[in-house]
Amino acid sequence: MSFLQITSQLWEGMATSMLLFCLTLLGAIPLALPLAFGEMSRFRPISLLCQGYISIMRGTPLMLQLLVVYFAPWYVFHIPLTGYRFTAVVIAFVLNYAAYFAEIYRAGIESIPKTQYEAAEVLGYSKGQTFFGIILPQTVKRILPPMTNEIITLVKDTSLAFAIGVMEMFTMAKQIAAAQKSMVPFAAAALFYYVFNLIVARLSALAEKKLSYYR
Amino acid sequence: MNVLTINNLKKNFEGRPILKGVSLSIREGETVAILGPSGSGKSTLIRCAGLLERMDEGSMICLDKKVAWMENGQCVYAGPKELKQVRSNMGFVFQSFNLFPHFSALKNVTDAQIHVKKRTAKEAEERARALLKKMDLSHRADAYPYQLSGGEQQRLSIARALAMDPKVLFFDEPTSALDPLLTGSVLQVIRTLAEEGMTMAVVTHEINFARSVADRIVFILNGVVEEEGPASILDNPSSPALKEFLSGITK
Ligand SMILES: Nc1ncnc2c1ncn2[C@@H]1O[C@H](COP(=O)(O)OP(=O)(O)OP(=O)(O)O)[C@@H](O)[C@H]1O
Ligand SMILES: [Mg+2]
Repeated sequence: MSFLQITSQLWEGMATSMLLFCLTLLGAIPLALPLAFGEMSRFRPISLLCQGYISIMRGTPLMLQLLVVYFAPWYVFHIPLTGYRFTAVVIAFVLNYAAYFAEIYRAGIESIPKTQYEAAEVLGYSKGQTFFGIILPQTVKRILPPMTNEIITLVKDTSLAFAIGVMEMFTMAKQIAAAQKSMVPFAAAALFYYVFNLIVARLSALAEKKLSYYR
Repeated sequence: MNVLTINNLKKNFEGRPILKGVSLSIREGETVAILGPSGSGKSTLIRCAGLLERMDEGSMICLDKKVAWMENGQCVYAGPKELKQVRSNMGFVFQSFNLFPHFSALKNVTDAQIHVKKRTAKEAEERARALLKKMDLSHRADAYPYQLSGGEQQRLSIARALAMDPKVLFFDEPTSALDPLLTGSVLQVIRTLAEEGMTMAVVTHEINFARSVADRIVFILNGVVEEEGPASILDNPSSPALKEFLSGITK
């Protein structure tokens, strides 16, 4: 089997990996915002709940969370789910990454000086206008570097889906490598992750450049 | 007519009394200079006046509207709707400018007009350009705050406040963060506003400026008004404390 043949066989896995990547971001990036708010809430029960959630999601392995999400419906609730594999992976990834993102958002939001809120307050901006017009845009610029780090980790983490047998890139590579007794599929997989992350880093640098018009 | 009347304002921070019964009134068209040594409570006073800080005790009336009053020994503030209305009559200029760094100079002046005052983009821009011109910033309309000098930033923040058509403007040490060479342009702008009849309260350490611009001087020491009167009290202080303060500054 040539390198090209292997890559084309891996293609399906790559598509799955990329889909998982995109769905995770699509879910976790917005979900992290209410989580970050909850964490900063002055209402103790809410802030404790969110802090506890974030602490657990960050303190336990993603692979374990994946297994819990996948097996819990059947083991705990006796709900038989078929064709649930991929959905389970997406849910686990979104829940996990939302916790990491929320922590980044919180630090970013808290790094904006109090004086920005005061300036907005004396001008008569509402709380919502202040947050979405004044605070959030400045936060986005500040959280870009740590978010890029997390997103690069996410690219590599998509390979964890193999744990419950989702046919993503890495699972495919392992199968082909075993069948062919060849290292080439692994090399192709490595190349895939590397190029993917190169693109992520490039996009992030572009975004950073785009936001460099102010300090 | 009084634009602002504060009576018997008391404020503690962490149980420590900072303002111990301060009264301040500002008449329409008047410029009041608030002087006093560091830590005397000037910022706390002006921040209470500008609704950035809540009084523990005292009453406050702004343009015939009750803002805060005493009820059963407690200071009660008007509801959010009323406060919003009161706030729309006030402008505040900070020592550290507090411009919005992600907005151009022009947008710093137009944004609140559009989103708070609900002016059209065109109206807001016309008003902003006129104010930038007045602040000698026309050529800097597209610059971002970090590209401006300290003096330009402070003039921009004054333009931003004026764009909301406040009936009274508060300044907390508007020139203290500036290089001595840059204070002149900002003080000149405030002087012009005073001549135009803007109602203002200015916390400042610039004695000469206070002497030549202020209609009235309020000297604060340890959380009380130690002496109050026309600008001439700076030349003939009656209290030993003001005398000492002035000699300390001129030295
Ligand atoms: N938010 C706060 N929490 C606790 N203490 C405060 C707070 N704000 C002010 N203080 C204290 O209140 C006192 C008066 O402060 P204030 O800022 O009003 O003084 P000031 O007259 O403006 O002084 P300066 O000329 O240095 O600006 C100071 O001792 C200060 O430490
Ligand atoms: Mg002060």
